[in-house]
Amino acid sequence: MARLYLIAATANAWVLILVLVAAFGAQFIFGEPPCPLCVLQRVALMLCALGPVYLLIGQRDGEVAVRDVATAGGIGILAGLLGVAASTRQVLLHILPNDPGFGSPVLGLHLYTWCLIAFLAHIAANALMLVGTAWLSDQRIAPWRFTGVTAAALALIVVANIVSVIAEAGLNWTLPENPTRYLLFRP
Amino acid sequence: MLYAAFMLAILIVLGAMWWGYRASVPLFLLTLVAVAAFLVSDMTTPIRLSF
Repeated sequence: MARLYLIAATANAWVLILVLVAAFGAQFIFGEPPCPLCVLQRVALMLCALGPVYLLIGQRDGEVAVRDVATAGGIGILAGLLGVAASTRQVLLHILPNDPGFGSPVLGLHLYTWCLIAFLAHIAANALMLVGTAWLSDQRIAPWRFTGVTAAALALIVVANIVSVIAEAGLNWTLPENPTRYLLFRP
Repeated sequence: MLYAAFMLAILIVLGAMWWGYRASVPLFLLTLVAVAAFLVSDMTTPIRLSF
C-alpha cells in the first residue's frame, strides 16, 4: 500500500510538471507570452506539485507516514482550489458567445480550460489519496529512487518560469493585461 | 516581478521541504494566501455571464 502511494505521488507530480512543460512549449511554439491569469495558473500548478513532492521527500528517511500523506493531500487540495479559482475566472471572462478566447486552442479547448480540468482532476486524485489512508498505516520501505529527480525537475521548471516571467514583465511589478512581447528585451 | 516573487517563494518552500525544515508547511500556507490575496485583489475586470 505504501509503495502504491509513492507511485501515485510520483505520477501526480510528473503530470503537473509535464503540464507546466507543455504550457512552456505552447508559449514558444505559438509565440504567445502568457497573460497574468495564465501565469497565476502556472503558479497554482507549481503549488499543487508541492503536495506529492512533500510526500516523496518525507519518505527519504525510509518511512511512509500517514501524517505525511495527510499533509501532502491537504497541500494538493488547497493549491488545487486556488488553481480552480484562477482558471474558472478566466473561463468566465471568455464565456460569452462569439468570444474567441485568449490564445490558441489546443485540441479544441483553450489552455485555461485544460487547466481547470487538470486542477479538478488533481483535487479528485488527492481526495482519493486521503480516503485511501483508511487502509494505510505508518510503514517502513526502502527509499524511493525517483524522489531526487522529481524534486529537481520541479525546481528546474520553477526556475525556468522565473526567468520567463522576468523577461516578460521586464522591470514592472505586474504583467500587461494582454502581453504580446517580452518587455525586458523590448520595453 | 511580483509573479517571479511568488515563484521564488515556491522554490524556497521546496528547499525547506528538501532540507527538512519544519517551517516548510507554514511557508507553503503563507505563499498560498499571498497568491490568493493577489488573485482576489486583481479581479478588477467584471465577469460577463451569458445566461
